[in-house]
Order: sequence, then C-alpha cells, then structure tokens
Amino acid sequence: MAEDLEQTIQRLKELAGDVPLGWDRPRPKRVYIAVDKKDAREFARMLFEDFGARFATATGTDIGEELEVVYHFECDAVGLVINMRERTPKGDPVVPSITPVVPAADWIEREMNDLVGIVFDGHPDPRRLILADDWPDGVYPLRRDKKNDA
Amino acid sequence: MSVLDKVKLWGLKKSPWVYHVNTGACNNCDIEVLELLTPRFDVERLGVLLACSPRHADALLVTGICTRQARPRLQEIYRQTAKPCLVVCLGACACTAGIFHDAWHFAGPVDEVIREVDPDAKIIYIPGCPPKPEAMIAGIAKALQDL
Repeated sequence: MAEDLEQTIQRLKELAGDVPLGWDRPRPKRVYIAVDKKDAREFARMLFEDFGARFATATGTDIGEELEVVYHFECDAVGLVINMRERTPKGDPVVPSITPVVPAADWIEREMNDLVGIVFDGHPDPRRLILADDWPDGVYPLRRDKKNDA
Repeated sequence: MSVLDKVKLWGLKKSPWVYHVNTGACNNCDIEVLELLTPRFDVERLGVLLACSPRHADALLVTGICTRQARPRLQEIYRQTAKPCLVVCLGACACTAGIFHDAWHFAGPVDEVIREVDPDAKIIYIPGCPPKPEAMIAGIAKALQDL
C-alpha cells in the first residue's frame, strides 16, 4: 500500500535527521525546512534522490539584511510541498549551487543570480540569463535598494 | 503623389502583409493574434497575411512593452520594412506600457521607440488586455481607410 501523508512526513523526518535548523508545518501539506547554507546541497540531494521529491522551482528574495533562497520540492503522490530555505548575509551573497545534484535548478539559479545577486558557488554555467545584454554588472533589479529610474 | 506611390498604397490597402513582433509581451496578445488566423475570424479572406520577414511587411504588429533588450531590435526591424509601413501597437502594454510603466526592464513606449527612427511613422493603437480579435480587425480596417 502506498504511504499516506503522515507516513511520508515521518520518512522525511527520519531522512533529514538533525540537519534542519527549523521545521515549520503551517498547513498539513506544506513543510518549511530551514537549513544552514553549508548543508544545502547535501540536503537537496537527499530530498531529490533519497526522498524522491520533484524539484519545482526556487525563489530568491531580498529580506532586508539577508538574502533568502527557497527551493520548492513537491511530493506528488501525497500532494506535499517541501520548501527548503536558506539565508545568507548581503555582504557574502554566496550559497552552494544545487545544480550539480538537481540539474533542473540550472536556469532558476542563473535567474536568481541576475535579479537578486545571489552567487551560486559550484554552478556549472553561471552566465547571465535574462537581463539585457547592456545591463550594467553589479546592479540587481529586485534588490530592495534598487530604485527604478528608467 | 507619384504613380508608384499610388500603386504601393493600393497594394498595401488591398492586402496588408503583417509581421508580428513580440517585444516583451506575456503571450496573451500573441495568442489572440493566432485567433485571427483560425477559421472563425480568418483574416486571410480579407487579404491580411502574416509575413515571414519584415522586408515583406506592410504593417508591424507589435505586442508587449518595449524592453531594454528588444528596443534596438524593434528599431532595426522597423528600418528593414518597406515604407510605407504601419505600426500597430497591439494591447495595453504596447499602447501605454500598462502596469509595467515603472518596471526596471522598460525602455520606452513602442510609439516613442518607433518615432526615434521615423518621426512620421503611421502608428495605430488597439488597446485591450488582450484586445478582442474583432477589435484588431476593426482597428486595422479603420487605419487602412484613413491612409
């Protein structure tokens, strides 16, 4: 018999062990897991390969003093959405890339690099993706301190 | 107006060939443009053909706000068209920039971008988000009447 939602979450908790910094379940089918950025790649690999979740997308946000990256994984059999979140200070916007273990994260990490200025360490192809060719380097349009003067 | 110009204008009004340029649209207007070609509206019965190259075009159908990346390309496409060439700003974004007016990737309204190349360009506006296919046909028919 296929496992139900609670069994899936139990299995996730066992696989995660004591890696997560925080664990939040605001709704039955939604789990936020905060991880330290040094554990991010290994945790994403665990979610993707061992746990069997599907990588949906990722979001990068400027939350003031820090930048936050949220990777969204989905477990379609039970409709569970797992959000792996990590934070990094603006002065050191480098987080490990998960593209080597989750190839689908390639373009979204390049997009986050373009728009929010998060540098993904270990990304195989960190070229500019969506900004215009003549866009100045080091200006990130979705940072809070960017003023729209165009 | 010389005889040659009269012939050109007659040809344009008889059967306007249209080149479709997406300068950063969300694709909704583009889907409605496709509607024009389906049997329900079938603009080919009115002589409107989608051209494969701007050099064959009598009208540019521009959808979307003009983004920073698309701006020089739109100007280059307009330069390549045979004149006279209508420019049809299709949809709220192309007409007024709409909700993207203050966005970081916005590089000027389509009409201003075109007027930089040709101050006398014939520009028509078909608003809507997206405009109905009937509105597009009516807009182009009206513009052709006024030529």
